[in-house]
Amino acid sequence: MDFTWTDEQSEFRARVRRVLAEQLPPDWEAQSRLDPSSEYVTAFARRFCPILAAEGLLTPHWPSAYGGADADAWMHWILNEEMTFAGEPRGYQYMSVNWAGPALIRFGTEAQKEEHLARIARGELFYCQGFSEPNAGSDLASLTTRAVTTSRGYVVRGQKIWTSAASFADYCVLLARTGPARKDISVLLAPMSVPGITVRVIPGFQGERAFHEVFFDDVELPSSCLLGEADRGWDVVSAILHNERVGMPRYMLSLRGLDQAVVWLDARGRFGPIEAMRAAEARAACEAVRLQCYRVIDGRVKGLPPTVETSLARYAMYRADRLVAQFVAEFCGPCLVAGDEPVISAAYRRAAATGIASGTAEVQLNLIARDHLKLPKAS
Amino acid sequence: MDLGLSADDRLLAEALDRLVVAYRDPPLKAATFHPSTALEADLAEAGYLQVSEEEGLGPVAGVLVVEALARTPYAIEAAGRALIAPLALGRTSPRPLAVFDAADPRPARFLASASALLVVSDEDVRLLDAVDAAEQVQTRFAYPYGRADTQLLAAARPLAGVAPAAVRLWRRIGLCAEAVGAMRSALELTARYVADRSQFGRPIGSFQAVQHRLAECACLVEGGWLMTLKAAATAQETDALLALAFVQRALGQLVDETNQLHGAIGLTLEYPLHYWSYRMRAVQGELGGAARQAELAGDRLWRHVKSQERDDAASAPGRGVKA
Repeated sequence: MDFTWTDEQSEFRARVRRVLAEQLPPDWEAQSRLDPSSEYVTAFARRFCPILAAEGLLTPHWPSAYGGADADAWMHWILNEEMTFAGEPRGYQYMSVNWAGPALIRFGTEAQKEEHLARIARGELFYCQGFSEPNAGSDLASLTTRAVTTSRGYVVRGQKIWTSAASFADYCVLLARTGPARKDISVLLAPMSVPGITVRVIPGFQGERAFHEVFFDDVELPSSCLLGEADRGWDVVSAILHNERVGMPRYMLSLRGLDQAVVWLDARGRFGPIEAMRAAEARAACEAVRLQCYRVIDGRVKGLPPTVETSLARYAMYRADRLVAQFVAEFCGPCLVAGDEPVISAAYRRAAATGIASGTAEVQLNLIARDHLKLPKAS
Repeated sequence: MDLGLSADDRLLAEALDRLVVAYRDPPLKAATFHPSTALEADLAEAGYLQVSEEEGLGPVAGVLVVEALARTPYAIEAAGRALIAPLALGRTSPRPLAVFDAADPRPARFLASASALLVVSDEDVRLLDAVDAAEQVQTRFAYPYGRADTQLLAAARPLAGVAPAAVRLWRRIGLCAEAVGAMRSALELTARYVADRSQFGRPIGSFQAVQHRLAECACLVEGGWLMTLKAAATAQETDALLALAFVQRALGQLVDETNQLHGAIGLTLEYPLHYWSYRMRAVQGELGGAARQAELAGDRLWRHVKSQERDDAASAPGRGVKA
């Protein structure tokens, strides 16, 4: 076992930090509120992602044939750690490079790769994920948005909800029912500009445009929008979710928020043994999830198939984020109310979604019970 | 960064798994703990307690040994011999090594006649390499316990050049490994039990209420294990403090859930859960427990913040953390 970084990895991390230091404005935290869905961050990302691309830091983990540098999963993870720590200045383009692009590389046709990949790699495209529906959340396979096959392609009717980035995304990676069986689901790449798509922002606590409703009223899509095989969308979904569950090192924001909370407390003479003890317990949970994520990345680097470690890591992430949020809530109340510490507030706010996004904490526990503990199937 | 075991460590881990299987079943005679001369003999023959010093192996291997032995129902002193003696004292301990820490005075596990006794304080480290006789403490805590009385403490001789911090470091890592081994066995036993036990016409392990509680335990065990391995690999004090804080906090949950989900049978001497649940309870409070490790870790982690303190605050009473 080796818990140290190679020189190459350390240099890569230093390079990412250097670019961040050069590119982020001095008032980045105050302006961005560390909210990737905000107007400010989205506009910033449109300038920043092309710069990252020029530096070779947007899609280094992609194959060189598609504008990447064949960097391994460690490099990709280091990049994600530093971006998350910085408050995700890529905005929702992190979804483009982390799972939309890789899904296209794996399942896309040549024409689709042509249409999408180069533009993602240049830092131009935002994607949203049309998965959840009002009556299909954890039970995603019960979704009812339907894509009826026509001579030209598909006609989509239905509704998606909780969709992040939908009001400014270029494409929606859309799940729709295409056959009679429960898992007859297909993935469609819907340009958000086609007629019949209506988007409404749902105001909330996660960010300016973190949640949307998206309505599809007889939206016509050409058959070339199909990603992967018809009725086999579940394969694509599984690959996406594997990349997404351990996709964003959320603990980096929690670690930063926790450190900031300690500084805030100490400046007020209120970082005593009780606070140190509680902060360190939260920190320990962050260290645990960090190692659990590293274990998943280690498997990816070695080309091993995904395992239940993904769910273990995701659940640990939920636990750690909550502990940090609880610490902040208990000891840093005044700064949360005033909202004058963007990093602390962001760590606090974002923790509320960790157990909900990309498969609820309960779904992860179900998978751990089934695949790790081999417990009998729930009837 | 490589979170897989080295080839040598993996071979060792596989051999240890086979050993654990061979000693899986406790003797039929009910007792709070069992020594095993057969297992001791196998350990001696394979040299497992010396792996920390072996070429190609090291502290991670030592941790593998301690964790594996804690999975068996037998009470075998391994942390002292496989980790503390070679890595903190720079010597081998032919006898089971009991540790008494003045910062946490309590009866010492494995302290008995024929053991050795290591005495740690903030000032120094002392060794009594052969205990003639020690008063045994009758307890249900799944280990032999002896009282480190003034006579024994006085008989211990200072070890020159051995830092108390080094002993405490490897003691903490050893406690982590013992805890993880006990947690693993308790969890495995409970998972098997809930899969077999039927109520309301179905295995209770098929109820989500039961599954989720065990799945959360599994997550804690895996997280604690990785932290333990990292602490062994880095030998950093903060890593060890955080690992033990995490593991000792997890122990409380594992004790409660594995007992609860077994129902009454888990509270008997006739069912093996008690070997691990009382082992978990024993380790839970050693060296002050999770809160104490966390307090110390917090002090180490954020000392740089505190060092920037204004002079007036630095002198405020009752806010500092004693090392």
